[in-house]
Amino acid sequence: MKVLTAHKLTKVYHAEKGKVFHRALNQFDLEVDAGEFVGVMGPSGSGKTTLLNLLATIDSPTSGEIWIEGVNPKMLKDHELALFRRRRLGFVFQDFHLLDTLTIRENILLPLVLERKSFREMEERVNEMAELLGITDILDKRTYEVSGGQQQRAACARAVIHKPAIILADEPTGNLDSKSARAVMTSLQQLNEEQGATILLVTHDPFAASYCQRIVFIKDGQFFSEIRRGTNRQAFFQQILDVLSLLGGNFDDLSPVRP
Amino acid sequence: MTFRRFALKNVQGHWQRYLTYFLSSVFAVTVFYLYASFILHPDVIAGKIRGRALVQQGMVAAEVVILVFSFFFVLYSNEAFIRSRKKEFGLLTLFGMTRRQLQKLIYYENTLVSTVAILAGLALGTLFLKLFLMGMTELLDVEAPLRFQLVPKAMILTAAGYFILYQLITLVMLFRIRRQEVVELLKESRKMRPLPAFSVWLVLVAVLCIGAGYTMAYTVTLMSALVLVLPIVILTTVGTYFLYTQASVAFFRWLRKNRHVAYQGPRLVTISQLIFKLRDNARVLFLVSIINAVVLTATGAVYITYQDIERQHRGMYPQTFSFVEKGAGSHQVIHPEKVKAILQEDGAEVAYETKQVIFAVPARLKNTMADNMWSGKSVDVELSVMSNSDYNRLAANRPELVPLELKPGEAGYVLPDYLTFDQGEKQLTTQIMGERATFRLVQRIGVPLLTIPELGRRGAGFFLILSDADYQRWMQVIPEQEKYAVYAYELKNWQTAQPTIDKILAQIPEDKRDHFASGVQFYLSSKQANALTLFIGAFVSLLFFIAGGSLIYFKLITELPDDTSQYRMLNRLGMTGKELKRVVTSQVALLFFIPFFVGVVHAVFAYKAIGNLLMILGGSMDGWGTLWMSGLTIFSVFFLLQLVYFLLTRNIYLRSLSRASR
Repeated sequence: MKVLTAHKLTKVYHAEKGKVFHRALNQFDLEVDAGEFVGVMGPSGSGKTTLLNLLATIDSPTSGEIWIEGVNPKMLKDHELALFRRRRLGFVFQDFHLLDTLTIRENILLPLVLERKSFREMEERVNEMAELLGITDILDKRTYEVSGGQQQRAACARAVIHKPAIILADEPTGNLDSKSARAVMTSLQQLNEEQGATILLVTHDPFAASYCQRIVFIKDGQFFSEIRRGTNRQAFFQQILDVLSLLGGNFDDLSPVRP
Repeated sequence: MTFRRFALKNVQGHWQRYLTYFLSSVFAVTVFYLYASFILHPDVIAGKIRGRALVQQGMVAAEVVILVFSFFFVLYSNEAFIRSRKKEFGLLTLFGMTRRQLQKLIYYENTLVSTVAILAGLALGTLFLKLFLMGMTELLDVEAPLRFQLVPKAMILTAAGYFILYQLITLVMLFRIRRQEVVELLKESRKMRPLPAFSVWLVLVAVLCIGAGYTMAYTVTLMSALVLVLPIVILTTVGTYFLYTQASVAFFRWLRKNRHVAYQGPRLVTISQLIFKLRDNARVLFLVSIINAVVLTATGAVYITYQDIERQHRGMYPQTFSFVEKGAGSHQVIHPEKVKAILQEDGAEVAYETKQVIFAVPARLKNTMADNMWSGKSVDVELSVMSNSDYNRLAANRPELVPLELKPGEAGYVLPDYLTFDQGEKQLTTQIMGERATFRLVQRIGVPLLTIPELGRRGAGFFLILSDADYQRWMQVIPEQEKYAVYAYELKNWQTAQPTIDKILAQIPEDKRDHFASGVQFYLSSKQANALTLFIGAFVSLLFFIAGGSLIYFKLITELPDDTSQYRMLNRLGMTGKELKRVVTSQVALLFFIPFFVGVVHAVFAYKAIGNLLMILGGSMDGWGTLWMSGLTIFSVFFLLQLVYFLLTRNIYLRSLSRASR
């Protein structure tokens, strides 16, 4: 079953009354099935962030269509879009974006609180997620008291607690050291395998990408190639590096080889 | 781009931050200029107004208050500006700007803002000068209106005074800019944000202090006021401080723990952020609450006194005027026919007039006022004796008096609340023409009966009412010379009767002028003095109030960038625009209206204390209605002002948010 379909997405940015324009995304197609763990990779300026913003419904395409669970965000009003985001989408950001006025538990609960779910459901879900992601003992701590990796795992729990159609992860390991990055990627993998969560990961970190089942490469706003993982992550990692070298472009912030 | 241009651009870019500070400064300059224009006005200096010295002194005092307040307000605001721009200064230092250049930049910026504020203040002042002078003319009751005239001296004084003030503060600021490591300047200001803590003991201190202060204010009397005022002020201030730093944290933490309250949609965000905002801004909120309390109390006190003048005056002078003839049938002072003629000539409508023949009897009174230095002391007076039917005739014209049906040997009496008879209030033994006479006291009347010239007789306004039989019996004994005929007149439009009264007074021989009594002149002058105080004080109060709001506004605007990034994230997570608006609105509203509300509650107890004091002066309880109505008027006016501030801030907030979330 298709969870997400993007058809011929094009985004053109205009500068100064349309004299100069920049095609950030050009006729881009993408399909994600339920339960898939898909990565999108590309050099800086390739259109990754634009794509993610379009899929996150916080920006709209110049042309082309998006369907998430059969819903076209273009048809929704601002208010409905916000509701759609909080009910059907989950987000993981590079800099965690946890509210520092809330405890870890409250941060994870936030999507359910906004939906005014019952206390019993909140409690059950938060405990289940915390246990799965190994953050049970930090639930009542505050954001500044825990490590970046723990914060990011809390953010993952928040992204999945309301059982969204798809989790959109934007460079989730970008701000983390290698150990934390590994823990976070393992967490995402667990969510994918044990909870059946559908995940779309945007990254330029080959290590993070190696956890995916399938990777779509993007260059200059256009589809470049696609690879699928076999059984071995190490081999997949090597495969990714090969495509990246083929892809070229500016990978100056490429992470060091870690596996 | 020159250096000066850079400073200009900086100010333009930060106009939102400077907005209310600028407006408050402009208002301060305007008020200062208006007052100076009055004090230095040629007509005023030429001395064409009554009570000039007093009015001028009051205004000079107000000017000093404005200047001192301006100094602290500008100093505090400037410090806050500099602190909030740490990161920007760090960046400039990183680019190689020297400390000297940084100081120069700040100096240029401050001079620019202050010069524009002074010019705008003078322009605004000039615009309203005519109106202000008209108001003063009206209030001062001068014959020739104060001419509309620009007073160059006032303008120079204001401009120079404020320019020096701003320069002085800027210099102070420049010296205080410490050398800091660039990294220190650049670092995020907020990284460690532990949940604000509170101590149960200090919360208790807050509650106890405020409770004690309120109790004292509620029960204060005229005499205890001298002792209690200072403790009330100190206790309430200390209590308010801990209310913000401790009790507010305790309350919102408790609220947040309660899932039925906190876990309801966006409210979780509102409450959790509010705990931090309240704690971070506790000192400003405390300061603003105290400013609000002082402003509301001071304005209220003057306004309540103003509103209460008429009632108090009626308590002392129940009739418009009266005169006394010694000897019941004599007309040495003025003939009633002459009075009638003058009244008719002026078209003064008489509500009622009375003629009473009274005589005096000795009595010893005791003071009953609680904790008073005169408490329990005795005083010898001579009561005025009036007949039952005379009293009833008076009562027929005055609905607050209850008619009496006295039997022989019985008496009613009129005494102020704080006095009683030395012998108690069962019976009274007195001497009439050397003869002992005892009366059973049956009815106490708390309302003064007559406007009556004292003629050196203590207790002239205290009455003993006897049955007609007793009265007639004693009248036959008393020689004609010892009888007084009191002629009292109540006019319908007594407030405007002064010219008529002057005419009558002119007809009375000069050595008999003390046989005539009227409170109209006194009423008018106290009304005028109060109106003047109200008028002069209103601007100063307003200035304080506006400046207080400006402090909150600035605090909120400074936090805007931090908040914006949080709200943008919340919007991504799917918080709708409506919910965001609600979060922002309730937070901004609470930050503006909590200090206002605290100020109002403080003021309510202060009004109660003022009421306690006024009631004793007035001697009756019917003034409470006026008091609370006056209070409500003051609260409403300031509430509207606060509302304007709140809406302004909220809109700027929401506009920046929606711009950022796009």
